[in-house]
Amino acid sequence: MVSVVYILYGIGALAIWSLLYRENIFYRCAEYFYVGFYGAHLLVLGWESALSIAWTPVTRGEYLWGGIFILALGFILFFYSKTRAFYMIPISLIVALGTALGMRGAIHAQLLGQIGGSMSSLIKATFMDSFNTTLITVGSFCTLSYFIFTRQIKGPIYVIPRIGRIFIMVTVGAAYANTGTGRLANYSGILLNLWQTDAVYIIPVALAFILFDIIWRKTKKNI
Amino acid sequence: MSLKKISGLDARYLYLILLILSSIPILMPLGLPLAPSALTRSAYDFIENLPPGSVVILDAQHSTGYGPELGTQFAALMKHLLSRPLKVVIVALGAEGPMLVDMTFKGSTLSGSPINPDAYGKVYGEDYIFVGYIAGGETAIAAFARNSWITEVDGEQKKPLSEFPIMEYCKTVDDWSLAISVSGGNFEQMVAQWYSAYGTPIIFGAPGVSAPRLYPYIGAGQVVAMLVSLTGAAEYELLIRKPGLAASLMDVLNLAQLLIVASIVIGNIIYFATRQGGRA
Repeated sequence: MVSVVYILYGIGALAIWSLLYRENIFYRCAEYFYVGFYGAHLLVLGWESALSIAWTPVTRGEYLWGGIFILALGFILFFYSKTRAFYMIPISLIVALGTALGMRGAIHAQLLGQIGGSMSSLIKATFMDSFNTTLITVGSFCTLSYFIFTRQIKGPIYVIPRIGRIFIMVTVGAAYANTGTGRLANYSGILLNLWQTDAVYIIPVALAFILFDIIWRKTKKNI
Repeated sequence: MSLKKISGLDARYLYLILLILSSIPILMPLGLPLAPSALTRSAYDFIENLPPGSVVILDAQHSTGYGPELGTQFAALMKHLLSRPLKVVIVALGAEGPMLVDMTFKGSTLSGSPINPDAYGKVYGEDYIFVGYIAGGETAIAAFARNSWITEVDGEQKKPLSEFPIMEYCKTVDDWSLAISVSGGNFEQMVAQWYSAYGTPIIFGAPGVSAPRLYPYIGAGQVVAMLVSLTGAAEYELLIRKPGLAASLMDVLNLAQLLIVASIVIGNIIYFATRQGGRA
């Protein structure tokens, strides 16, 4: 018995991958389906979350006025085009509260903690640990010096920001390579499922479509 | 074929070579060796050394877009947590979390074979629970730490959390011994709201693209460890002695990466060779 789910999986995956060949109607359909499904899924979950976190406590009489106030603010968000002045009230509150909440831990997490982490002792238990810590300290120092724009760094110390630039390039390269690894991981997962499930029946169909298109386009060109 | 012709070759030929090359290990597994990295091992060791009865938060914040890269990490971590005498509270701080948690238990193309908690002797509501989805990004991260009962009902049976004995052990962040988040983002926010505010140990399951920006947090001791991409998941599967989807995908990943590396090397050789030719 052929699994309809895997056949749909195969159609969806290969329709998206068909963009690698060229823009086509199958890709467009699959893309719109995905965006549509995702939007619907998000809507349902958001609604359920609002019910359990905000509405249910209000109906029980907990945080009654606070809850009503918050729900009313959320409701205003649906009337963007008609009540712009009102619309700005929840937006400004969201931004203000979000920023304040973010600030609370961010100073420690992203500033103090990081500075402390990069200023630890260079002497560690193993040689590799000491080497890594030294590399982080030197890298941090040189990279920071690259972003000093108050005065142009000249003379023999000019080499420090240049080393910083090399560290930045290595970091960006590593990030790019990691992105590639991630994309390939997704690709390999889909490929494995295409080969090992009923989705495999879609592969020859997709290849036939591409072959037909190549021949058709070549014939059209010759005419 | 001249070097100039090779450099001007249609990229679609490369896609075709990639497709053929990466299909080989699926049809004929190569079994290339894999050794767990220090980062993966420290995540494993930390969980292994948790005292019995410790409350561990497992956050499904990833999405289907990350495919098996994060799906396999989540499954491997789940298997390990269920194999230990811990109280596992699963939460979804990402919109697709509830679906992904369900897919992990039932088995899927993203996470591998099904996970049956009964086989580990675990009872829903006593040893593990899914408390559902909390919308709001950083606000939700902070709110869940202050009040772990925020969803009021669980995510699977839709019953009040007060009906589940496990929730007596998990009321606020003070009860957490460890927070694990498999996520594609919001890492800085979790460090800020969970570690900086309360000192909760955190382990991340991260996609490859996010890994470089997370290393400083590990260096600074703000994050215990992390699993990086599919490789991290495969290493973890080996550590828990349950090779699954990630381990079987490693051959494909290795060959695909080999092709990319070879393409970069060949591309550079051609670039320099043609540049020198042009100068001459």
